[in-house]
Amino acid sequence: MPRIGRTRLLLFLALIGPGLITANADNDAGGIATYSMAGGRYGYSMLWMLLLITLSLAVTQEMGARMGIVTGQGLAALIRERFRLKMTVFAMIAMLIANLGTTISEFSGIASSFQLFGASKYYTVPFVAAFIWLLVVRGSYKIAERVFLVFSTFYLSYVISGFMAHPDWGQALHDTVVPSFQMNAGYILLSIAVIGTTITPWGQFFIQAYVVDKGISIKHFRYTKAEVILGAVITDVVALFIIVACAATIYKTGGDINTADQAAQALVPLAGEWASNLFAFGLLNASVLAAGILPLATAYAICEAFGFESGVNRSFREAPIFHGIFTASIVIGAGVALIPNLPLLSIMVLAQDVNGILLPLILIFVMVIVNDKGIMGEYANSRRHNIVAGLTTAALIVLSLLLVATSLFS
Amino acid sequence: MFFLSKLLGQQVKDSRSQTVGTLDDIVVTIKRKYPSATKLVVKSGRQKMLLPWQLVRNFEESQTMLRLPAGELKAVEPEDGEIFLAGDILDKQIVDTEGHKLIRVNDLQLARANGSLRVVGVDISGGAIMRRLGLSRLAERLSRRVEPHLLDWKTVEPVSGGDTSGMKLQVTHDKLALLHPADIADIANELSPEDRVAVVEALEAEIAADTVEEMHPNFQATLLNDMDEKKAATILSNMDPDDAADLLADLPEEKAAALLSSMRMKEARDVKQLLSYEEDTAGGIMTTEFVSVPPGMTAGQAIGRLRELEPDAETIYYIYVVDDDGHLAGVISLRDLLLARRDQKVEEFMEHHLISIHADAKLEEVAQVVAKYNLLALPIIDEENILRGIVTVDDAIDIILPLTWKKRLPKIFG
Repeated sequence: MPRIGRTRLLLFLALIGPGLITANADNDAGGIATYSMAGGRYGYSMLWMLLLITLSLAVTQEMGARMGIVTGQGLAALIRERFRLKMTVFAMIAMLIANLGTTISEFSGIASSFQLFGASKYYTVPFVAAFIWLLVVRGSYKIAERVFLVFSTFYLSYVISGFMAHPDWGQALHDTVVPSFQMNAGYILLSIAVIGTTITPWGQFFIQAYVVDKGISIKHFRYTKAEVILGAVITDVVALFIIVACAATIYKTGGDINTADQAAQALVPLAGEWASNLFAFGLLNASVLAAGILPLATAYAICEAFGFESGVNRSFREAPIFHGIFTASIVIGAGVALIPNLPLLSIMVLAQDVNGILLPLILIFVMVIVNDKGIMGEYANSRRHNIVAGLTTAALIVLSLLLVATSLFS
Repeated sequence: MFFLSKLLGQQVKDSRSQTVGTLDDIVVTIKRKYPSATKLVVKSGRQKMLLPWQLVRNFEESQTMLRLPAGELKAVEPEDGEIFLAGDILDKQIVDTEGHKLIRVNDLQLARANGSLRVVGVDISGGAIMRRLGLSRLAERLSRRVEPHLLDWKTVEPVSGGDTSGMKLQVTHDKLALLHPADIADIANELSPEDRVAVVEALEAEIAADTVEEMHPNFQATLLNDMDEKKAATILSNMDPDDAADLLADLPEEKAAALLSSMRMKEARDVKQLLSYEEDTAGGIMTTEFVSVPPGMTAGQAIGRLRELEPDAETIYYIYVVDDDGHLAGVISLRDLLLARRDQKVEEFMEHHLISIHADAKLEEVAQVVAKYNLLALPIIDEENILRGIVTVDDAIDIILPLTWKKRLPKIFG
């Protein structure tokens, strides 16, 4: 019997990747900025969202993984085949905007982190952009990805700092379980960003592409599913500790968060005067990984939808559109982050809003495809899936409408 | 010729010119080489009706007229072996026999034939995407390259992609071999590098060589580089020596040397000689494939020599007269040869004052000479007046016309 147990464990480890990596990459520059602001400005009051977000993240990621395994195709390909060309163009423009926004936020994260180290962004950002471009094009991307994932243990520092700041655990637990809401544009905007930084359009494309690439068979789907759920939980545990750490430090002392310097305060109980260095390191690591993945994911999806040659191992001549999109994303992302006097932290959160607003669009496409028995066969969505995914979509639409309404009336 | 995308959504009218609905889809039977339309799907409001194609009285790009009044139209069901063009084929992937992802069906081209409508081609161009989005004019303003890029329907076959993924089009390698090398090259240009290797390796050496010659220059070198070395050498041996030399010049030196040593002796020698000339000189673009005869040969013997050699068509019109040491002595045209008496010696009727050019001459000079004297081929000689090769008129044209004009890629996105 223990033998079987061990085989199962090995199988699980072999299949590991899609869920954990996608989920972990969700905690990027925008993620850190958004959670820091949520904790720093509104204390524990947004924690309740994390429970729902975890559930929604697990469900949406599971759908993406399932679609990829069953059809062997990426999301962009399925959209093209199910909805035809015009809708595909529409979906791709939405994705392009969302991804470009996120890429800008990653480069803003890179700029912020270097500013904390005291290095001017005007030198460092172009340098890092070139570094990322070379890293991906040169193909040592897989190794880079692993290194970054190891560095991701940096998030542990938030856990430790959260404990050391002696948060009000009673209040935190209460706010996690009992929902509360504030009817003002700032709160709603940040709510959308909190959702938008975790459940993302690019995450939907990415996890599906990942399982297709890995060639996981439907036989092993339950392991992938378990991994997706685990990934969702880990992501949001990290988010929870960032919020708690910021609530227990910045919010308690009545400080505000507008710059990366202020956001770094959350790590003071752990690192003291080194807090800003620790924060900068974490932000840099998270940003560089995502700044590589996002342009890549964008280029793959668009080439897949329109039938252009794609692949990092193709030359620029062989796959001009692919390399064009990839390179342009990096240039635009780095270029915007270089604009003088840009409120970098706000830009990072704003990008999450764009993600949050465009997400329902992509989720509607996902929902229709995953319910299509002609495409998914017996693996089409169950009613339970539909309720959770449908509610996520509906909630995001409502929040987006609220956002428009509040900004009109305030 | 019609494009499916232009037909969909057009008005369908009954025999009294009353609008019945819009054309939603066309059903074809795939039992024939070029699938012919058997039914049409008419959409009216949310209702869709399947009608037999026999009801069509008049079919135009702008509208379809039916034979019967609306009240008498009876809907039918699809049959076995029938597919929906828009529903099953449009926007789907075209995969090759190994199941690799290739390209997408951006549009379908149809043609009228014997009272029916048949699918003749698959448009995979970026221009088709623009056409379907109604942006053709904008695309034309931005770039003039919006011609369709059509795959002949013959080369694809619809396959059911299993239970869940619906229909796919498959490019079959054996069908590819039936096409003209220039068409195979067109398709190969569209493939991923691995698939390109697979397709070319599957071809017979001679066809493969012609295909490679017709392929986009950017892909030729990488293709041979990725290919099995023996196969690559065989293909090179079958190519025109000048094309083979150009190609080898684009490869890394070690690889080129390895390929040269596995090539057939004679071809390798020719190619090596060609490689020794600068790229932008007459020697660099000449071919060593020419026909030569000694001055003492009779016309009859010379014709016999031609039959024996079976030279390529483009080099046969001029036969060069070369003495034992390889010195160029004269030229006879195929016409002269045919009109001469069988026992007449070549030196008796050959043209002594022939136009030739030195192997180091610049390309512009080559083009000018070919144009000035209306030559089909220009002999290239070295310092000692030894005939080294010829430049044919088509290669001379390439010098004058930029490459991009000749091999215009029909894809809008490059």
